[in-house]
Amino acid sequence: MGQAIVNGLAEGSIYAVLAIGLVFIYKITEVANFAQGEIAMVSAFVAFTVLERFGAPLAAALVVAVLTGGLAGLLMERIAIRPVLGSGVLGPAVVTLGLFFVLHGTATVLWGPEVHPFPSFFGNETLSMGGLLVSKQHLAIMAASLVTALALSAFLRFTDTGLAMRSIPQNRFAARLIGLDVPRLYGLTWMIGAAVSAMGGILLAPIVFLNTNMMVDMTNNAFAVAVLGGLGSLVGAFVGGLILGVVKNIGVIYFPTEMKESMAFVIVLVVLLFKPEGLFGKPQFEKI
Amino acid sequence: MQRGLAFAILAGSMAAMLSGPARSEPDMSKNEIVIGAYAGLTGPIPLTGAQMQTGWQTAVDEINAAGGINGRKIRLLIEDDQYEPSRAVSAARKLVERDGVFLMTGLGTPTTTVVARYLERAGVPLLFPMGASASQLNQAGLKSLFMAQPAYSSQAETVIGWMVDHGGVKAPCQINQVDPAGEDHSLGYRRAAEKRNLPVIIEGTERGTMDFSAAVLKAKNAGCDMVYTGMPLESSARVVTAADRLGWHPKFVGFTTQADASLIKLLGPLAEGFHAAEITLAPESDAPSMRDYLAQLKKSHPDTPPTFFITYAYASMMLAAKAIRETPEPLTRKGVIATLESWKEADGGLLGPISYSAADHDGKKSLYIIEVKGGRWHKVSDWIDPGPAR
Repeated sequence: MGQAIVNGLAEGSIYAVLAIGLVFIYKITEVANFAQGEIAMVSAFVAFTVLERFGAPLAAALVVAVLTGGLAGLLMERIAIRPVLGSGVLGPAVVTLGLFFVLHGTATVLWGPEVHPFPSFFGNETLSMGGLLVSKQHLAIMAASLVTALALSAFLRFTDTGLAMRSIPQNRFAARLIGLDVPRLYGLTWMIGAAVSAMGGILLAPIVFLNTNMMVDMTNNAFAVAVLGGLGSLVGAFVGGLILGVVKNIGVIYFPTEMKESMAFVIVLVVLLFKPEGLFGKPQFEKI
Repeated sequence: MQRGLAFAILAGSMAAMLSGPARSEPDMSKNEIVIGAYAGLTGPIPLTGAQMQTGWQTAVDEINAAGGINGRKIRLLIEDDQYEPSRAVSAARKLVERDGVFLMTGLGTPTTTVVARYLERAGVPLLFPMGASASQLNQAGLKSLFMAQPAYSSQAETVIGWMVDHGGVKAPCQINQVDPAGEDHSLGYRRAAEKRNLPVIIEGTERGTMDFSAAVLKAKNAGCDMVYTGMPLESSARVVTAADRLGWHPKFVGFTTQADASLIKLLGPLAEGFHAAEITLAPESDAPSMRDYLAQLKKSHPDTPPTFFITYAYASMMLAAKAIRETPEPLTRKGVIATLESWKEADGGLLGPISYSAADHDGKKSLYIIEVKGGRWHKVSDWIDPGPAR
């Protein structure tokens, strides 16, 4: 049981790191970014290219990848999202779905279908703690997702830019009226959310191997985690990821392993039944 | 009126979807034979799809450079099915009904399972697809389907049996993908285990699973000392790394899919000791068919190593060409089927001897075991013939 919990925490932290970027973008812009995982995949491939083609050190490749992710997010917002922002909830969501396919297809053309090993910044060793084993890479992902969630929460709470970002979803028109540069803040939001996703891609690649399909399953789970934790809560995304991972890994002790994925979504459905805003989300009320 | 029209259109569409194509023979050109193929060039198995494409095309290049088959050049049409059965059927329909292909080949067990039924109705030969399933394909009794890869159940039974009898394994277990191929692996594993009075421990995982920690932990806690991985190559590699993260290093075993250099590339030192089944001649073989193949691959794709899937696709296309070449004129689909059913220990080139009959289209059952040693695959058993299919 203990090892199953540790495995669950490790698996859940992977979902969390992706969900945090998703939640950050949704919290400010109210756009569900279905291309989040593909940004992570493309960024990891860019890091791979920098490593293989130019023989750059791993740290430099990681920096390049995060910058690539941020730039991709900025460009996506400017070119594809901004023009459809006024078209209701579905328009931007469908655009991000389209971007998913564009990024996926482009990556397949550029890098091919091969599966590649990807080096770990933290080594492949496994640590033993009280007889329970966890890999350094998983620990790093856990730490990275927690630190990212806390850092972004602090950014939104304590900085002028963060406060300005938070005010946008409350009333976009009022935000413009008081002089906020909403388009610039949207661009910044997408840049940060995508850069977090890129970081996730680099952290995941050593575990799942680098390939164009590496994020498809992860993105599904990240959405479940985001909804479970509460779409407006970054810490909720982190905790939601861990809960989902643990539930899946403990569940298979008592149920067939084939039910692992479905169990996760049953948990999400049950939680939403009793708490539609998610575990850490706040109920939304609208005056009519 | 509008409802009536809508109903008529719907009924017409349903009838068109459900009806099979006419079982007519295409008008054969004197200069060309069109062969169709479906493969997952995108989707979950693009690497395998690309390798199959390379292998098929290499063979076609070689055949056409030598003047074709009895004067007819091969034109190969490949459709991407994304490893989705419904897309594979659409691809097959397009190739048969619009492009008028003479015969077909393809990639994937779940896709081939449905495509084979469609082609059976259409009377189009489906030759040597990459995939296997005793109940759905190899021994399904389909008149138009000819298999050149042993059923996964046969592979699993043979490999696991060998590991217990010769590899010191006492408690084999299996982690498989939940799909028709995975079911077939389980069938073979059960036979091998039950024959030796060993407990059956099977962990099923969904297609596309990235984290196998849960399945691996269950296998570890069950006391297994060997894990047979009935799943795609990269998934097998993830199973091995998940076990390594748990500090668990049992023997890992796979089937023909894992018998590839890609596994060693992905796993590095962790690949050492991995066992798999192999059905084609080793690249080190002195056989003329292997020398010809390696020379042609170097010519067509200079930087591409002879992986299992490339080799199989090449060998299967050469085999299809042999069947066409041996069919008397006028060339018909029925004629090709009759030719294949007459093969007794026919020279299958890189695949070794192949036999078919009107009652048995499961033509290739023998395999041998290979193991990763020193970063390379090495043959560790003689050819094993499991005997008649059950």
